[in-house]
Amino acid sequence: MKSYLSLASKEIKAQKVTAVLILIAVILSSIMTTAVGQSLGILQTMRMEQAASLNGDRHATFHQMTEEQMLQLNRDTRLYDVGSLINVGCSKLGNSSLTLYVREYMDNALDAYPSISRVKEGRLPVSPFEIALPESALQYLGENISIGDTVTLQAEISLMNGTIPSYAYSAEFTVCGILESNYIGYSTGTLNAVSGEGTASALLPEEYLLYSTDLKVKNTSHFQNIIDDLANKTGIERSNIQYNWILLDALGISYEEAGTSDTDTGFSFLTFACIMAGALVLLAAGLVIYNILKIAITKRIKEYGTLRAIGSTQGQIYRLVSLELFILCGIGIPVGLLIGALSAKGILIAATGVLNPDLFMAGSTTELNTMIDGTSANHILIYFVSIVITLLFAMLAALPAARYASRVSPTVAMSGQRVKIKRHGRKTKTIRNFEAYYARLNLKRGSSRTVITLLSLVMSITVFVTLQSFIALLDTSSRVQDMTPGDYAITSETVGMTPESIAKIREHEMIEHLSTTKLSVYTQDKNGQYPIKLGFALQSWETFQVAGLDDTRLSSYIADLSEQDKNDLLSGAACIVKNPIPFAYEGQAVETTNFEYNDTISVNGHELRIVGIADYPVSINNAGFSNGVQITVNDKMYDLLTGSNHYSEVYPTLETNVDNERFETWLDRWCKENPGSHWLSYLQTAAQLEESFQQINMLCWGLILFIGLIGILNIINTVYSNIHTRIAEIGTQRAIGMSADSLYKTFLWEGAYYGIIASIAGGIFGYICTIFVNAATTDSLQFIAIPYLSIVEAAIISITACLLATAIPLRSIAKMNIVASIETAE
Amino acid sequence: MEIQVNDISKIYGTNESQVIALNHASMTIFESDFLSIMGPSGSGKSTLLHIISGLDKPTSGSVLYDSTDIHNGSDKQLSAFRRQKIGFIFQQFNLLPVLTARENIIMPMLLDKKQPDEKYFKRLTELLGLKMRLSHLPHEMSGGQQQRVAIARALIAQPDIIFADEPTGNLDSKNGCEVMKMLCDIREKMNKTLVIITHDPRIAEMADRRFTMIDGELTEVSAQ
Ligand SMILES: Nc1ncnc2c1ncn2[C@@H]1O[C@H](COP(=O)(O)OP(=O)(O)OP(=O)(O)O)[C@@H](O)[C@H]1O
Ligand SMILES: [Mg+2]
Repeated sequence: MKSYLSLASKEIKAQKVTAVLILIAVILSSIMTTAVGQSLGILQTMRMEQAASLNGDRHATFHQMTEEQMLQLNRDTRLYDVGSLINVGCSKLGNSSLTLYVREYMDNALDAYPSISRVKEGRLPVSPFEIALPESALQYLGENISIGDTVTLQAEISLMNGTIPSYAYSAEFTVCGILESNYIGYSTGTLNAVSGEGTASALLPEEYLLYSTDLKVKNTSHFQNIIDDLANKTGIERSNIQYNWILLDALGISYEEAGTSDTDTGFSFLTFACIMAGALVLLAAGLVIYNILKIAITKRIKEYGTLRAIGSTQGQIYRLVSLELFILCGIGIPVGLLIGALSAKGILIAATGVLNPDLFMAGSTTELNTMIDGTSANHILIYFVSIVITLLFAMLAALPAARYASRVSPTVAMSGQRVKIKRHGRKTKTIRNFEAYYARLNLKRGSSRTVITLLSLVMSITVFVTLQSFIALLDTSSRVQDMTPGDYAITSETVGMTPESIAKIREHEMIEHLSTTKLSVYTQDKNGQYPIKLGFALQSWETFQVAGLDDTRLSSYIADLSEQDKNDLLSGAACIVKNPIPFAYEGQAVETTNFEYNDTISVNGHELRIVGIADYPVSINNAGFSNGVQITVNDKMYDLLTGSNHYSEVYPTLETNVDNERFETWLDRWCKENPGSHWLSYLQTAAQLEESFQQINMLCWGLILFIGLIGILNIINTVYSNIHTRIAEIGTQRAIGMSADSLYKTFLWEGAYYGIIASIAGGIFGYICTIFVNAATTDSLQFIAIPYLSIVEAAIISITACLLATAIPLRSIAKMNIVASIETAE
Repeated sequence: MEIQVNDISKIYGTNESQVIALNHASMTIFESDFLSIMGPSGSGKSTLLHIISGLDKPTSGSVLYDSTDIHNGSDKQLSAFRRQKIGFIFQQFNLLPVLTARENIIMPMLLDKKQPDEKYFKRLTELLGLKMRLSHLPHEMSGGQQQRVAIARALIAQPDIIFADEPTGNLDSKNGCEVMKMLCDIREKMNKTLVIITHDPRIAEMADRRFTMIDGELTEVSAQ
């Protein structure tokens, strides 16, 4: 033994039960901090990667620059990844709402846009009038276009400030490559084509030949200053500077017009949930460590008194106690780190299951999971932070115990009394049930220990009750989400399906029910006219859409319509409107059309009253919404408004227990007879959804188990040490004639009191938290039914746990020789 | 070395539950004195010892060790004072149960960040007859052996003065006698000051100066 500090490891070895209990608490909390840290790391990496691929790997773009200005930016040493492009022109694609943008990228500028530059076939253009087209644009440009073909584009180009009229031209390009489509293009209504360098200068008059330059700033802490300085030097107007807010937000760079990105919500919700769960477990584990250590120190208080008497300073005692915990952390944290890191991805995949993958700009949950799986966030820094947080919490929890030990008066070493006992009320009332009375006295004698144990129990019960109701809530929302209109979707985007052919489906023997959607999308022509007569004006870029739904679906479309409104809707006198999604272009909010409840609109000569504003558009084939105004009417009205009775998408629901495969073969044949149509099974998707709910369910139960374990750890510790510190007392009681039976009862009462008090408090807190969880998910604060079942479950579990924790150590003591137990006192 | 105890009082509690444990006690302890204090239970003997040795503070009065007031310093100074100048022997031995006899003995040195002088350690353990017991844990030793380990611990840092509060109170008369003999023997050989509290008149007889304590009042019984 070289230093007094080795006393710490010797104490640990001597008190195995205490050490193991603390070790479990340390492992649990470091599992949690690591899992949370890793998850946050993965989320952040994902967010950055997505931001870069979504909107270009650039900090900002300077638009509408002359060659001179562009070169000036290229020379600036404060920037990197500077790349320039020229807008060659844009072209409407057929009568769809899509616009094809043709751009020319100089040098490696295209590298900043991984999402639009993935070549599916062929190669990227190198010489003038070569073009790489996105796959999804091909169908609009001609039949069966392949590499080497020529396409003619009717294009135009305009300047952003509109000082000169737009310039229209027609040009022939040679297709040199086909690019992979991305879903982002669809939702914004734009597709991107790349033309070879030199195209623009050959096609455009000089005044339209303007550059856009993407750039990144090296010193991001002075980001805005540098941008301002560049703007001044080059003389570029502020309105021509576009900030890539998605990436800037993700990177945490501050800039002029801080954006509120939509992509953020999913991330911040998960981040919040992660941190909450982590904090909860840390708190619970902290309580356990505090409690166990405090009890362990109390048991040894005479030793610390002796140490003080023979001359140790307060600091040395502090160090001794902290070192004990430090050693346990040294063992527990690496184990927790390992388990936590291994489970992080799994937890995240389970957690993202309930969220709409759109929030992460992913096409589907599967795609999202692949993304998470592909992200490696094994940053040393994150591990380091996890370690520091766990250590900090553990040490914080140990502080009161260490303080207590160091403050002990050295005279304690001299006196025989080990523990100070406080008892306020000293008058004895008539005692009806001695065991219960004595148990209550015992609870009061270590009041801080009792409080901590109760607190940790209450927390466990609260979490149990809250998560249970959260799970119940998920179940209901999963049922709502499950309400796809049918088991299958049969779609025909372009041609549509005739009523005659749909009748064949409806008459099929296996069909129980058929829902239908008709959808027409209209865009403005050159003169600002729609191919349908409208009694109102729309913005030039807005589409006008008419959707027709079958009556069943229409009446359930908006739940809380008044009887009058509902009747009007079903009779065709009214409609539901989906207003355009507000958005900003190049940093400026774009004006959008906005209809309100009870407005009356005229479409194709029919007056329609608006009885509801929809949050979500009717869409087919799970496609995005070509931004604009959409009205939804009943099936018959649709025919009148559009002059077409073709169906866009129908949803058959099958009878139960029928042969799906036979129906699908039939459906394949049906689709062949109806060109342009194809089908999709929702049975699969429903199963996938079910699976992710199962996962989140498991996650919740995991958390319940975690916190429950910690609560039980605390009870076991309290009861165990309660009994062990009082062995001599128990011996004395036995000696003066207390029966083993009576002894049992005393301690069982004590356990029961813990369970009962904690259940009541936990039930109340759990109910309160349930209300809040409910409010967070439904956006309205309301008193919901008290979750009796889970409260009762929690009460039974915790009381049982308390009684078991008492009964087991007591068995051995009740059997103990009375003399032996009295003598253990010294 | 000289300890001056000036008019110290100790009062516990307030109002009705007030207990005057020490009532204006004064004494002077000189180098290599052997003092005994006797008195009925609850008379304030332990309280006096605690205050003289710096474990507790008096309500009034002062204790001067070589003319410095020991209760005036910081906790660090007081701890160092206890480590270096004072040795304690308790009635209940108070060995640390997880440490072996040897480790228990050298603890005061380790607390002082020093290593024990092996020659002195050997001499001490030989005098106390502990040579064969050094790797034992406290619960593997008899009460007498445990108390001898405690005596070794009190002496390891070569203190000026040793305080013993009923060192034989937990031992039978044979073991108690043996331990006392060793203690006196060592005191003589090493020329230490010893203050001992006891209920045993035979032990009190062995001392050079004898004090009695009754209801917090200290009086010296004149020699012979
Ligand atoms: N912490 C305390 N609070 C209140 N009173 C105390 C406290 N410690 C001691 N006393 C009182 O001070 C008086 C002296 O106690 P002390 O321990 O000095 O007696 P003692 O002479 O050592 O007795 P014994 O021979 O039984 O050890 C007693 O009456 C006791 O009740
Ligand atoms: Mg005493």
